Amino acid sequence: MSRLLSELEFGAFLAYAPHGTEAESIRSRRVVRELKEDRLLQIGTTAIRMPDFAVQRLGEELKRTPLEPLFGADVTLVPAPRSSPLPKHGLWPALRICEAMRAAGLAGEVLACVARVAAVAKSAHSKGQDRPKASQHLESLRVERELLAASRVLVVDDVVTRGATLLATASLVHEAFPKAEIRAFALVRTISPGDVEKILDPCRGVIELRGGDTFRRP
Amino acid sequence: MPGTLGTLAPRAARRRRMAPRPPVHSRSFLPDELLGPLSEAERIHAPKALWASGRTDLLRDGARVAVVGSRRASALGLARATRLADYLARRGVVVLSGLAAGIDSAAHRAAITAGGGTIAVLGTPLDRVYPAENRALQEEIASRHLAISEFAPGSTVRPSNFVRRNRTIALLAHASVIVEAGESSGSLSQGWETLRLGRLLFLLSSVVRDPRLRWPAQMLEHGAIELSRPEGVLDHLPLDAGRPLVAPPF
Repeated sequence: MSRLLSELEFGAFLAYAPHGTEAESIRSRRVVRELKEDRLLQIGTTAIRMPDFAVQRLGEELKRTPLEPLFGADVTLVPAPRSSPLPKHGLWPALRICEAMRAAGLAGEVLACVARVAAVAKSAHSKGQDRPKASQHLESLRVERELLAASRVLVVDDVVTRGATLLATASLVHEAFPKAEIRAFALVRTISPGDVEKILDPCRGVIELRGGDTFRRP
Repeated sequence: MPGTLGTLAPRAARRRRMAPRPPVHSRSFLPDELLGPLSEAERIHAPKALWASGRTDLLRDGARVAVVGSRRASALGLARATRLADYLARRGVVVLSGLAAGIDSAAHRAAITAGGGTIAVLGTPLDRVYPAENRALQEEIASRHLAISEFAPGSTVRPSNFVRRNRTIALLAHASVIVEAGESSGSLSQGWETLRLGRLLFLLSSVVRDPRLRWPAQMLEHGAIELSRPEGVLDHLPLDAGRPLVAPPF
């Protein structure tokens, strides 16, 4: 039986409100959808995909945010698995984001070493009591042990809700490589209920495990 | 898909039903010309070229939702497709489908009746009609809406066309809804391609709850969403999804 970490340090760059009604919240939902679908933006004469755009903005803003210590050439990025098994040649947003971050020089390498072998419900749109707990995530994941020799690992996802996926993924990485320093990063954190004031809202915080549930601060 | 091949009419009957029609005014495009540069995932099954007749501006406007399902649909299935396409079209969503008999035709007709836009993605070249009874509908769509085919005018129609066409519907749509489909329906290839592209796939509650079907559970496990009311589509899909963001969103 695998064991979960009791605490995980995390950072997030953007905020999104799945149920908010203000204009910025509505815009935030479009950003998340386009991030997940690798959609194209047309900024001036430049066509750029949302994951590349978001990572580019992260690079530009990094020094003004508390996120800088999470990144560096010695950091290995591990994409968190999707909530459902990946179809053959299917799009994996977290891996897409990791590759954009490596290309932007935010990290040294990308290691897609944790895979989903069974499905769990999606977080952002499932009701509180239906959301899968970190232990259920853990049971549905597998790690490739022999690949990783990194000392600093950043587990990366597109969106963090309660942090159960990040915590379960980080726990597996920790189990396989107990000496590595492991932190987590999501491009977007979910704000629910209510609205987001600004999509650009970088923060650092903690995901904690209490009584089997994960709690994210902030 | 076995169903797509198996339920096609025998060759002679097919030839009769697929009589040649007068040449249509069509143009060929690279997929990138119509959709913008494709992503790596999109490129895998994308057609090499697309022939289009009608209003290509329908691809640069609002959100595009595919409404697809069985050719041999139940009366309830047809009513559900009509209600959904009507709801979407009235809100400015362009309704895509495959112009097959059954669910597809009901979706196109409902979108037109609602005064909305519709796109037919054909499994035949634009100069052929299948099934023949959809001739008037195809002509209306090719002149006042948009008809698209990845098969060159004059080319032979093969059963495998329809699976390729189904994947192309997934590529062209921002989201897809399967209204009604059996275990061997061609709509399933469309659904799996939508999931592979990471896009929204909705399954009507009526198919999710049909105890005879196994595919809905498999698709839900891979990220499909159960749809219990037409409004549910717009809970997930922005109405302006068809227009690329031009101002930096953050």
